[in-house]
Order: sequence, then C-alpha cells, then structure tokens
Amino acid sequence: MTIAFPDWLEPMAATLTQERFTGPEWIFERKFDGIRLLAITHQSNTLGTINPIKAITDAAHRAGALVLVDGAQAVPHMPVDVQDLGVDFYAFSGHKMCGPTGIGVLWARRALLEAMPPFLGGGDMIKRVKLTEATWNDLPWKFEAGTPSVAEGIGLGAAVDYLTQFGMDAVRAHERTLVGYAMEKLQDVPGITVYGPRDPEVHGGAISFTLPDIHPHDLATLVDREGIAVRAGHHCTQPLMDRLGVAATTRASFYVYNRPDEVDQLVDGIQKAQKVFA
Amino acid sequence: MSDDLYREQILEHYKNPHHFGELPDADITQEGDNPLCGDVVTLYLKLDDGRLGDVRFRGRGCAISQASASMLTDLIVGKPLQELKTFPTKDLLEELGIQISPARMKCATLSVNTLRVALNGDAGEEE
Repeated sequence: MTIAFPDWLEPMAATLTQERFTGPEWIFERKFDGIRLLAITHQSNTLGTINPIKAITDAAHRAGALVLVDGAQAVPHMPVDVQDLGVDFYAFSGHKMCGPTGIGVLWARRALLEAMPPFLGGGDMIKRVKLTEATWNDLPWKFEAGTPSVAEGIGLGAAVDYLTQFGMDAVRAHERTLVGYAMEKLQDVPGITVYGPRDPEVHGGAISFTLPDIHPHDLATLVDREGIAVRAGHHCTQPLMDRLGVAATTRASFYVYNRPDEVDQLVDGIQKAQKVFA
Repeated sequence: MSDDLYREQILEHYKNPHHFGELPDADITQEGDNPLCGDVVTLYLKLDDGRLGDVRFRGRGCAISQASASMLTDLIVGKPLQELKTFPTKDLLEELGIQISPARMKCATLSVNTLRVALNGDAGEEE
C-alpha cells in the first residue's frame, strides 16, 4: 500500500541541496507561518549534523509553532538542557544510550501535558470512574496506563548513572576529538565523499560516506573484516538518500568506548577495500 | 565453502559480468530490486521451444548481487523452462561458493528470486 504525503512536502524538500546539508541554516529560510508543530531531529543519524535547536525553536515560537525534538541521537552523546533549549517536547530512547530496548522518554512542558488527554487507557491513569464520567490521574500517571515496564525503567536508570559518571560534557568532548581526527584522516582516502558538515563543533559522532566504485554494503563487509563494525544502508532516511543521489551510504559512528587508533583501523580497512575492488 | 567473500571469481563476474545487456526481442522482461540496499537486477529472457534460448541482464548494486546474477545466467541459459521454474536457490549459492551472512542473503538471491517471479509470477518460498 502506498500512502501519499501532503503536496507541500516536496517543494519544501527541494530547497535542500547536497552542499546545504553541510549545515542547518536553510531552515531559517522556511516560513513557519501556519505550521502548528515543528518536529525536528537534534542530531541527524545520517549526516551527523547537530541542529541549532535553540535558534530554530526561537524562530518557530515567534511564528506561533510548538517544537518537538527527536533527541534519540543527542541525549546519549551530549549535554541536553530542555529548559535552555526552550523546546516544548523532547523525546529520546533507552537503547541508544546503553539502556534497554522498549523504553524511552517523552518530556513536555507541564501545561501542554495537562491540556492533553491520555493516549492509552488502563490501570493508574484514572483517579475516579463513574458510569457517566471519569477523572484522569495527575501527571505522569495520566500517560502511564497499565502495568509499567519495571525492568526497563530500572535498566534505563542504570544507563543514566553509567553515562553520568563520565559527565556528558566529557562524552561530547571525546566524540568531538574522534570526529575531528576522522574528518582529517578520511580526506586522505582517494575519491571519498563525506556527508554532513566538516566542523566537529556541529558534527556529532556519526560520519556517512560513499566511494565511487564500491557499494556501501561491500565496503561495510570488508571493513568489518578488519575489525571495524559500520552500518551500510539508507539509515531510515530514504528521501535524504534520493536527495543525495545515492542508494545507500556507509556510516561509522563513535561512542565512549572508541579510540583514535580505531579511526586509523577504519581508514586502513577502507583502503584495503579499494585494493580489492581496484 | 570459502570464507573469502570477495574471492577472485566473484570479483571477476562483478567487473566483467556474463550475458550483460538487454534483449530487444525478449519474451519476458522482469525487474527485481532490494529497496533496502538499492540493488536492482533486470532479466531479459528469450524463450525457444520450451527452453531458455537466450538471456541477458542489467543491474546495479553490490558485488554479491551483480556477480550472482552473472553466475545465474551461466547456469540457466539453454535449460528447459519447466526445470527453471523450480530452480533451487542452493544451486546458485553453491556456485557462489562462499559463506553468505544473513545480512547479505538478499543480495545473493536477488537474481534467482527475480527469475522465479519472471517464470511463475511470484518468488515462491524464500530460502
């Protein structure tokens, strides 16, 4: 089954070109007029771009739009202060931050949550039920119907503790170093196209790239054999792949456990792959 | 089975594919793709008295998908159609002669699945 998207989406996306993906400035040229809710990612899982959420939120608010941020790629990798960003909704998931699957967090302004009806019925989300009416429970129970995911909640708490012991500033600094080093090293690979901004200040710990003569899946398999696990595919961003003119990219991503010598290993692996396909 | 996914024979088929091109007078033209990785294979089949008289293919994608399509054309040309309708995937995998990981199985079997769609209207049970 094919579902058609609204007809304003394509002309809006058409303003994005490959070089403009190096930064998120394009968004300020958009008019937010008439938009009631702007949903945007904090850090692109494909391009690595860290969007200037605070500035984008200011612009959206001036036009009367609320802002929902997908922070699944940001919260595990950098300090995030929802009050400072000024956003209205902020979501992230447990499994991207060393926690369990099946659990995540949606933060929202209290006034918005209070105005919203429950999305699910079940135990704990009601205060009082009569034959003729029901009263919803207070926050957060209004949105936590039924038996909670207890084990997942405890696991997510442990993940938060684990990351907090490093400090999120230190996690971000570590990744910034690795990204800066990788950007430098990848320049030495003949023919490579690296996507997203070059500047590690606005590029988080995920770098997508393609080579002219090696399919991303072949490249991923060969690099894997050198001990470096990377992902190849469309990264759940197929319209972006179309816009970049590629079927897929290979993506290396960094976290607290990676070291600079693994960047060297990645580049060695890419160069070995180039020899295989030479 | 070799552990070398990119052994010489596969790279040779990838770089110099057999039966590559189109058949203008093909009786059956069938495109198959793996949208998740962008592999595409189009088979052009010319039938001749109950046999596959000639075959060509066009495609783009990873080395495994394109080399396996090239090998498949060698295996099927001239064969009776009745036989090809149930062409076993394992015969192609044996010809590839390498360990295919679950992640790459769709690449390795794209061409043979496309052949089954061409002759039967569907790919049947995926192996």
